[in-house]
Amino acid sequence: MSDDDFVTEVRGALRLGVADLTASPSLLPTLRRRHARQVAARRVAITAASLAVAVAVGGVAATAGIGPSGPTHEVRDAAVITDQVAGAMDGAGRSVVFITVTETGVGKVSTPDEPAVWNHWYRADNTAVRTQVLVDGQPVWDEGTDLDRRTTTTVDHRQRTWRSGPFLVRAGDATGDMITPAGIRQAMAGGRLTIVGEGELVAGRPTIHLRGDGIAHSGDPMGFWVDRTSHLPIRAEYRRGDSWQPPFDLTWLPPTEANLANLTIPIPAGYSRQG
Amino acid sequence: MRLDPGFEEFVEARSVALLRTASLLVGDRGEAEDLVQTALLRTALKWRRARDHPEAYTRQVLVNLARDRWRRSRRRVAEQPLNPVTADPVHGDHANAVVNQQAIQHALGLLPQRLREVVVLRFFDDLSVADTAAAMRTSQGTVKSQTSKALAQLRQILGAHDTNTTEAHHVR
Repeated sequence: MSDDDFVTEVRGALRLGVADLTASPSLLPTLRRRHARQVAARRVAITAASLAVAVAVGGVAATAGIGPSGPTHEVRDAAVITDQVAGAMDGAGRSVVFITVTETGVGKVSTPDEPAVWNHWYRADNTAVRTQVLVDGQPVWDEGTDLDRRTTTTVDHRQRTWRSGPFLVRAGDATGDMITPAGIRQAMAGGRLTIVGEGELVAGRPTIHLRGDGIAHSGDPMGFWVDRTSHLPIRAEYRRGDSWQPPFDLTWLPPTEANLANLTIPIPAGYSRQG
Repeated sequence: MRLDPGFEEFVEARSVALLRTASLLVGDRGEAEDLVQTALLRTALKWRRARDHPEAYTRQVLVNLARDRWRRSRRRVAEQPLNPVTADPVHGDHANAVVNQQAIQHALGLLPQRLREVVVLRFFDDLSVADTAAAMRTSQGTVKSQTSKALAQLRQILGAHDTNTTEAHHVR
């Protein structure tokens, strides 16, 4: 049999074998749900950058309640905590904050055999943020945003391409999912910020754990652990649905040349520009 | 953030075709549904990049996911025994067609992953050598050589069945 005839037979057999296969009617609804969840999860890279700033600038207060005899002990402590955090954050505004999160299972980048490590750096004054994704120790994707200039640079290491352009925010979604000082103040004024209690040790440091609603633009509840010594937030968490997501740690780095360089994405030689 | 209307149109128009491709790539319909869903989700998340060629983009993701799955399962397809399939000339061309179809599909499952990909993309999806190379992230030369290798292996696997039955009972 000639190759052409054989190919025709193979083609026919393959098509016959799957001719009865149809897509599930729930495919599109499922994609809509999963897409919405993934987009919310991606915003952690940028929203986490604003968390610590919002905590300090906006202030934090527990809403343990004010009884007839005046503010409770918890409220007085919350006021002290607020001042301390605000002061610490003001002093650390030029720092670079580092977060690392490991994605496992079938995720945006990860597979069950290959977890993906997401590294985030941001200026504590909220002027720049960078996200780098690694698989097996190798960078696969790198994205940096200059929040002042509203530009974003992205490098796709698998495709060996890069692009740079405006950081687009849709109308009606101007603050994205970022936590703002205003959001913190609103949560405080609305009685939606609480001291959970003494937190666990984070990197060997005693902490205080706080949680609040309506801080982020999305409305997702958020929590953070404040270092009792430095008064800086060093751990944070988000809640989605009924469960709190695994927390992630924040490392505060001095604004040295080396640390600031982590906010700049190198474009490897030989990569082609897109768009 | 909602799905782009263009993406939803793409899903409605092409999800069946993608599902059939995925099914042939992994040999399991349930797994194929999961793969297609994941591939489409990734396309949706990268819609700005993918929207000019969404099917090519999604197909590339699908091929990668199928490879990941194959690596995880560590299936040694060459070790799977081939059930001898012989045509019964008494039942004529229809029986031969069914037997041939099953034999060919079974033979596809015995191919190494890359050769299976090239058969599915070239002969089921009818992609050009260039488009197949893009989907497989390899060179056109590699696609051509793997196509020849795949056809040769399929012939070898089908073996006596191909020689004894197809010539005698030619299936159109």
